[in-house]
Amino acid sequence: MLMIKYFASLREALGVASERVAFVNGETVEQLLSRLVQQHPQAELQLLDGSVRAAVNQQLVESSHSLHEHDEVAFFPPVTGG
Amino acid sequence: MNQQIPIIVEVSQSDFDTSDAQLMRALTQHEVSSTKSEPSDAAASEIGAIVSFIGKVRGTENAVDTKLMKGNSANKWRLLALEIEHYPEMTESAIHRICEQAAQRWQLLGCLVVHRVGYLAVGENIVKVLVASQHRHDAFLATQFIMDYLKTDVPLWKKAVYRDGEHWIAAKASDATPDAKWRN
Repeated sequence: MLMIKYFASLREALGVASERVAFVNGETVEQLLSRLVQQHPQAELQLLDGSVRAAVNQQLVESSHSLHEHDEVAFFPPVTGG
Repeated sequence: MNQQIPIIVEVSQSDFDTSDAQLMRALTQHEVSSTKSEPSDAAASEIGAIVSFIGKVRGTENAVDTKLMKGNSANKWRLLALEIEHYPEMTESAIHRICEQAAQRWQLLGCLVVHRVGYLAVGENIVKVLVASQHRHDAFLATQFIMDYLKTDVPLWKKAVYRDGEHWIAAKASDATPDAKWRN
């Protein structure tokens, strides 16, 4: 299983802060995102916005990053701290 | 510059002390543990500069908010507060990494960052960055570097709260690419 987390506007668009999804061997962050769009069609616009960033196990990654079983994958809009 | 320096990072709901006391304490303790000597002011005596930056909640927002204000009374859209969300398991480590990068680029003696989260009313403090070095040049540059990357690499999000509504603040294009600025 993978632990998925959503933050800020993305969390609000999806209506969930976290969920568990099955792990698919060899899947990248980008492929996972497409799978999540099918599960949350109402948030397709926000998920495929192009500016969505991902962190795997609390480290920022590119969309080509390959996932592993039990990874924690967070998706969020561009950050606005500071 | 790869030597270990004190790096203190905190994410907090409550307000912070704006003095340099916490950083100075850390520097003194660091000196004691690395030389096994008695506490002294030796660490403090190496410091020639401390740059302190405080970010605060401004009562007026730009761009997005100006559009919202059209056709409405200015009062209706006056910012009341910022609501700051973060990714608790990641925020501190992301800030820590930025401080380490700064310490590799400049000759620093210590670095402290406190970032607040939660509901922050206009006028409240949001973030404090303190950087100590022997000479001011390093501390000034490192402080700016840390602030630039706090805006791009740390999982924090601001929501603007008005009397009659709220919206997520969009990332500024001008903040998006600090890499170009700090390439050298």
